[in-house]
Amino acid sequence: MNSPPILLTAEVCLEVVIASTPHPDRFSKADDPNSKKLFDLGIVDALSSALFVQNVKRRIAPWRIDDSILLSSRSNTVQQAADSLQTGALSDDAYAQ
Amino acid sequence: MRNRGILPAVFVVASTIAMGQSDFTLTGIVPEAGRKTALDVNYKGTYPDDPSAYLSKDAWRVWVTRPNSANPEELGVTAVEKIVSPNFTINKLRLSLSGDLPTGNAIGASAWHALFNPSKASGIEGLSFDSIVNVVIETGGTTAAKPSCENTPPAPTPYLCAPGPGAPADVSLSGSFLAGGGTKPIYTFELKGGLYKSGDVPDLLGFHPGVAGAVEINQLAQPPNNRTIIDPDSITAALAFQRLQPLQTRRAGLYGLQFDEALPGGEFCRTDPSSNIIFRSSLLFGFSSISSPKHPSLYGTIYPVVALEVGKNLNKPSTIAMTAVDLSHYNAIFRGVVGSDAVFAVASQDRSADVFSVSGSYRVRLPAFDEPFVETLHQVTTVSMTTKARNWIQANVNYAPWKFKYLSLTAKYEYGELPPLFTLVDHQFTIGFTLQAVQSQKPGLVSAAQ
Repeated sequence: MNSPPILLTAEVCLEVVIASTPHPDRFSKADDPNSKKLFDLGIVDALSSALFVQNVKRRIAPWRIDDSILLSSRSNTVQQAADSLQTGALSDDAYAQ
Repeated sequence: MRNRGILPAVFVVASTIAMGQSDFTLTGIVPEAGRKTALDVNYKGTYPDDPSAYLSKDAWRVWVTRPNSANPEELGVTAVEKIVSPNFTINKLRLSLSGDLPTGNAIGASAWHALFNPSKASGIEGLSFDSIVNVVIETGGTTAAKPSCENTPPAPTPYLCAPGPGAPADVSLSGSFLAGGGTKPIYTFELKGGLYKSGDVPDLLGFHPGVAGAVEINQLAQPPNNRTIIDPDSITAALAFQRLQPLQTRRAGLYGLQFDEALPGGEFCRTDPSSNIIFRSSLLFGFSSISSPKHPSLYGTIYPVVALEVGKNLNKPSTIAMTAVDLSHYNAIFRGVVGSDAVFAVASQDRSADVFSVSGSYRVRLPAFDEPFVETLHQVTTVSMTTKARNWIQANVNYAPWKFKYLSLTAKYEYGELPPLFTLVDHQFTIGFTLQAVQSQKPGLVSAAQ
C-alpha cells in the first residue's frame, strides 16, 4: 500500500523550494520570500534552473508537476516558485481522494 | 507657539503609522491542498497592528469553478488566520472553507475567485482575486488564447521564443564578415541547434531524447579570397539524449550532474570530403555558482566536462588542402575529452538579464589512435597522423540590446582544431551577430546544442 504523500501546504512548498536551490543557506528566517529571488539562492543559468526543477520534483514525489508549470527562472521570487508548486502539483489518482 | 511644534510632530507620527500600515497589500490567492482544502491569500508589506478587518470571516467570499463546469459555486468561509511558521516568514492569510470542496487534482484545476469586502468602518478598500488555473479548463465555446512568449504555462506558447536570462539558445545562427581591399567578402557562420521532444516520452533510463547539430562555415577561409563561397568546415549531427541528476547531498559545491549521450553522431567536412561516425558520452559537473555577498549582482559558473568519443572513420580523402595524404590507417576512433565551460557575468538589478557577460569553453581531445592533424603555416599545409592533443577554445562576449530579444551582438575568439580533420583555426577573432531562439515547451533540460 502506498504511503500518503506529504501535504503541500504553503510552508512545505516554501521549504521544498528553498531546500532545492544550490544555496539554501542564503535564505534566513528573516528574509521575505516575496522579495528574495531564486537568483539570490544560486539559480543563475539554465543548468541550475533545470537541476532545481528536477530537485523539486524528486522532493515532492509522489506528487508530480509539469516542468513548465514550476516557475524556475532566476528572476522569479522564492514565493512565486512556491506558489506555482502549490498550485501546479498533481497527485496520482490513487491519492486524489 | 508650543502648539506649532507639537502639531507637525503629531502629523509626522500619524503619517508614519499610516504609511506603515498602508504598505500592507493583498496580492493574490493560491488554493492549498492541505489536510482540508483551504485558500491562501498572499500579501506583501508590514503586517498591520490591527489586522481584524482582514481576519474577519465576514469580509471574505469565495467561489470555485470546477474543471469542465461553467458555473461557479460559492463556498463558506469559516475562519481566517495568519499562517505562522517557526522556520520561515510566510506572508499569507489562510481562509478555511466549508461546503462541497474540490479534492485532489481538482483543487489546482479549478478556477478560484475570492472577494475581500471589509466593512465601511474599517476604511479599507475591497479587492477581488482570481487564481492561476493549473490545467486548462475545457468549456464549450471558449476561444483558445493566442500563443505568446509572454504566456505562463499552461497558456499556449509558440514553439520558439527569445532566450531568457542565462539560458543558452536552442537554435542559433552566428555570423560575421570580413571585408577588405583585394579580397571578396568572407562570410563566416556558425549554425547550432538542439531540440528535445516535448511532452511525455517513454522512460529511457531517465534520458530525454532530442536532436543536436552544429555547422561551422568558412572558419578556415583566409584573405585574399577571389570568390565568395560557402564551405562547411565542420559539421556534426547526432541523436541527443540528456539526463539531469540533482544531488541530494552536496559535496564540494557540486549541485548536480548532466549526462549527454550522442548516439550516433556524425562528423563531416565538405571541402576535403571526410566523415566519421561517433558515439559520444559526456558528463558535466554542475557546481553551484560563485558570488560574493558584497556584490550580489556578480556571479560566475565553472562546469568541468569529461567525455568519451568512440567511432569509426567512414571516408578518407586522398588530398587535403591540395596536399596528398595517406589516411589508409585511419580507421578506429577513440578519444578522451576533457574541458570546462565558464561564465562570468553581471546581472541587472531585477535579475532578469545580464548587463555584461563573458563566456568561455575549452575542450581538449586526446586520441588513443592516430588521427589526421592539418596545419597551415605560411600558406604551406602539412598533414600528420598523430595522437597529439587537439585543443579547442571559444570565448564570447555578448551584448543583447533589450529591444532585440532574438538578436545579440557578439565578439568571438576561437583557437584550435575541430573534428573530423582537426584543421587549425589560428587565433580567429570576429565581431558579428547572433540570431537565437529557445524551444518554449521543452522539458526541463539544458540546450542540446553543444
